[in-house]
Amino acid sequence: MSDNNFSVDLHGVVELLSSHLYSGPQVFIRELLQNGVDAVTARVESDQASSEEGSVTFTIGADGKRPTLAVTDEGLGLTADEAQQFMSVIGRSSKRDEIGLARESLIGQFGVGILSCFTVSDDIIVTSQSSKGGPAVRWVGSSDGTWSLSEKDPETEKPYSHPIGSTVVLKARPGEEKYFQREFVAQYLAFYGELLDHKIWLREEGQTPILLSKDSEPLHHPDVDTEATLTLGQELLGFRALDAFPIKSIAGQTQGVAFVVPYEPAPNAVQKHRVYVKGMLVSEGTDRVLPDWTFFIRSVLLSDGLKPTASREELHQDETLSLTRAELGESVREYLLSLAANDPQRLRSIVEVHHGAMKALAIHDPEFLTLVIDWLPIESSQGRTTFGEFRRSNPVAAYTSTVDEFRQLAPIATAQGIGLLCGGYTHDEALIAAAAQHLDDFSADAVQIDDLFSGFGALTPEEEAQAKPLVDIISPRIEALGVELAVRRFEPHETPSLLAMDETATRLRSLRRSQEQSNDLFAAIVGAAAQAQEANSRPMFCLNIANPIVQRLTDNVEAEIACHSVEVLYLQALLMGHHPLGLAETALLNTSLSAIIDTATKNIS
Amino acid sequence: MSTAQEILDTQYDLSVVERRVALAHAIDLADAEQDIDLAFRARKNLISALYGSSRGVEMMAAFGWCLTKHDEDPKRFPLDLWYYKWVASDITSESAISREQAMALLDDVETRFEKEGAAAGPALKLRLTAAREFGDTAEVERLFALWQPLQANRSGILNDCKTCDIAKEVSTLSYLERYEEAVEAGSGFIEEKLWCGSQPQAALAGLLKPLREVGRDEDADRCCERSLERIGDDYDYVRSFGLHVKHYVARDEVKKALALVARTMPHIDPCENDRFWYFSAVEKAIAAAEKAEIAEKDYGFNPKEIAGQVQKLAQAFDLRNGNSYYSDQLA
Repeated sequence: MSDNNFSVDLHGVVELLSSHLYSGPQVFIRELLQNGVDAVTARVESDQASSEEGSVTFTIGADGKRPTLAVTDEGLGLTADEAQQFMSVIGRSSKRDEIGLARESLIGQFGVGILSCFTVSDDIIVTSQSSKGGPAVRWVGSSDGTWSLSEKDPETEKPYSHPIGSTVVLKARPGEEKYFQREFVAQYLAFYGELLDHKIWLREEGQTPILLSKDSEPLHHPDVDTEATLTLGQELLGFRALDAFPIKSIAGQTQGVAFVVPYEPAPNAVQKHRVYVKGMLVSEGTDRVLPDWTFFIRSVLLSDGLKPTASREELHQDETLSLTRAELGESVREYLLSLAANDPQRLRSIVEVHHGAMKALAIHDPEFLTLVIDWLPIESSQGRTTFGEFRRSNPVAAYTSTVDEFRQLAPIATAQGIGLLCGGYTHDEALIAAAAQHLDDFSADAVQIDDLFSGFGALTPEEEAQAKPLVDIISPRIEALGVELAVRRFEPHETPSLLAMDETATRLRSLRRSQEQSNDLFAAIVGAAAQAQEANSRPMFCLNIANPIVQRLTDNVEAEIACHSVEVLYLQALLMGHHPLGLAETALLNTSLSAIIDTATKNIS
Repeated sequence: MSTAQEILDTQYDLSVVERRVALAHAIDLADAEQDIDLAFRARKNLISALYGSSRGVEMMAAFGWCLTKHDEDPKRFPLDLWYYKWVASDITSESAISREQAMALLDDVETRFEKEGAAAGPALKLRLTAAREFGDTAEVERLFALWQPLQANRSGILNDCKTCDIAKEVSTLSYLERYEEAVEAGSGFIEEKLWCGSQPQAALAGLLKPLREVGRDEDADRCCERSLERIGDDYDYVRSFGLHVKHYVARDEVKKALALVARTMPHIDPCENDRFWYFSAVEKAIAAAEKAEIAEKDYGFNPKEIAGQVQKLAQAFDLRNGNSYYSDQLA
């Protein structure tokens, strides 16, 4: 058995790395910037320059008709040996421990970044003067995988001259000139490097140099000047946040600012965060650094501990990232708790925007539910209120499944001292059930019409006697509508009647409406199925003897008019409950009203 | 409060259970507004949302309304006959729907399918399903003999996918107690070679008894696990849950049977047929628990009430079907 080496197509590897590793050609700007910044950092750390020194300058120029881009740093520079060792072997970075530098201080790690320059240029020319002394050197690499190293200009035979540091020059490949335009370079230099500690300059002959660095102080101390923090957030994220607060992870050596999104995100949306590692932007769209439940914030994070992937466009999914996510989530949780204790008005305004998504999450996340439940809005028999306010006065509550049922029952529940919640809006029924399950000091059950009815006052013997003739007359007519009739006394007395309909009865009404407008075959089938189920689920129509209209009807009203009047009350109850009328019910409404009007007209004449 | 249009626009952000509630509400709103076009769209969406659920009557009502509108004005109310397959496959689900009504609907299906250019297979398959639910074994054998050969050369429109048709073959062979053949037909499911959007979860549940009958208990256990894993929290699989409960009982895993009952019972929808099969499995689990002296004091439901319902449902179906098939299942 013998060991054999793979044969590597160098040109293919260069093509692969330069064109397919990264998301787009603009990455070459980041890689040049990164190399320059790392060189300067290395020099500062080796105590050869003060931390105040060290800038990286991008200069746009031209070589004949072809635009060029030169990047000059005031870093350590390279000797001839170092240039040969590090520039010419893919995967070997000059930022190795072997040159005695703290690797974790540097941005680049993999030694392949420089290859991205081949996406826009056929050659990379590096001229460098090492701080260790010796002659300046020039390394020229080509996209075909060849390279050369020299200490003298082959045309003039003169040694190269360069201050300590390096200059990388790219010459635009025909067709790639757009990547060397001032606007393009400025845009991406700012995009990637505006938060770097070092000064980044862009120069072009005949143009005023631009300093692209931005003041990142608000990201380090967001509480000092909230306005400056919000403004910076707007510049970086594109929206003016409802609030901004610091977040921190010790494990990930990460800190930054969370910005509260001022609009309701789409359901199931995951927020994208902007992450800088050692000052350089790694991703403006990562969703991995904060837990999913923090959907209402987007953050800008500065990290020294998170590890970028080889493309430097995403973060490594490792334990550090997991710990960071958990700790940053804890920061958000502490913020919410702090708002609840110290600034409830602000918390209310945040919940006002995000309550839909917060409810959706709280249903499945008991911890989050406990955190936010008291601030979430809910429709109740006390009006629109927060869950917290409601449950303070109603530790035991009932709830309806639909808005219509709620509207009908809320006044009655209130009159009986029952706290009623409306579960008819999106997520609310499940939220109420989840709250009842997870909160020790709150319970809620679906409203039971029977319970509500049992709270109604029984009729006195006199009232029984008074109501009996009316009941005898109208019972057959009402029961023919598939409804059970009852007469009770309840508050509010302004309510003449109550139609109690459970979920099954509501569903069966819908079936009947469809049946009415179906062909004979389906009408018969649906009718048969509905009839069988209706036997077990009849709506209850309850007249309120305390109501003046009902009392009037018990007072010797002509039988037919009493029937029509009660039918109208029934249909009114249906409409009040937002139950659409079927064809037969619409016809009944017309008939009954017509009969009442006829009688009234006869009486007048 | 949302309008019907808003509900239609946002329905896909909801879970399927929430979507069904929202669409039923959209129908109410559209009906109240007498907006027929919106009511048509809402009902069509409800039919889709109810597919696979245990609420066939609601689907039938919505479809019947849509079909009537479609017949009045096909251009304004376009309706895919695929929906009719879903509706027709549930036609036996309620004992109140007579056999004559069911057969009339299946005739209508066949006429419309033929008119649309479909081959005989899809309508035959629906008749086969109905015959099984009627407990009409002779008719099942007759229809199966007509339908099965067509599978070798399926053509035309309105066919289910091949995998679903194999699942039907398995369940029919199991119904006919031809267990060896059922296992052979379902080997693709057992060996994890067959799947589609709807299978293998129900097919695997249907293979549990055939596998036990041919002495492959451990394979049945594996199929049970895989099926439950695939089903997850989708409580529309009422019948499959029943088959799993029965499997656990048959394998003396009574605690597992009770745990599955406890998990699924709160989610059982009202369809009579599914309730019969599921409750009859629950009854077996309770009986097994009593026999093993591990009966619980409080199941969260009344076992006697369940037993009463099962008897009542069996009688109602047998009365409708004119045989004793359902009562026989309880023996």
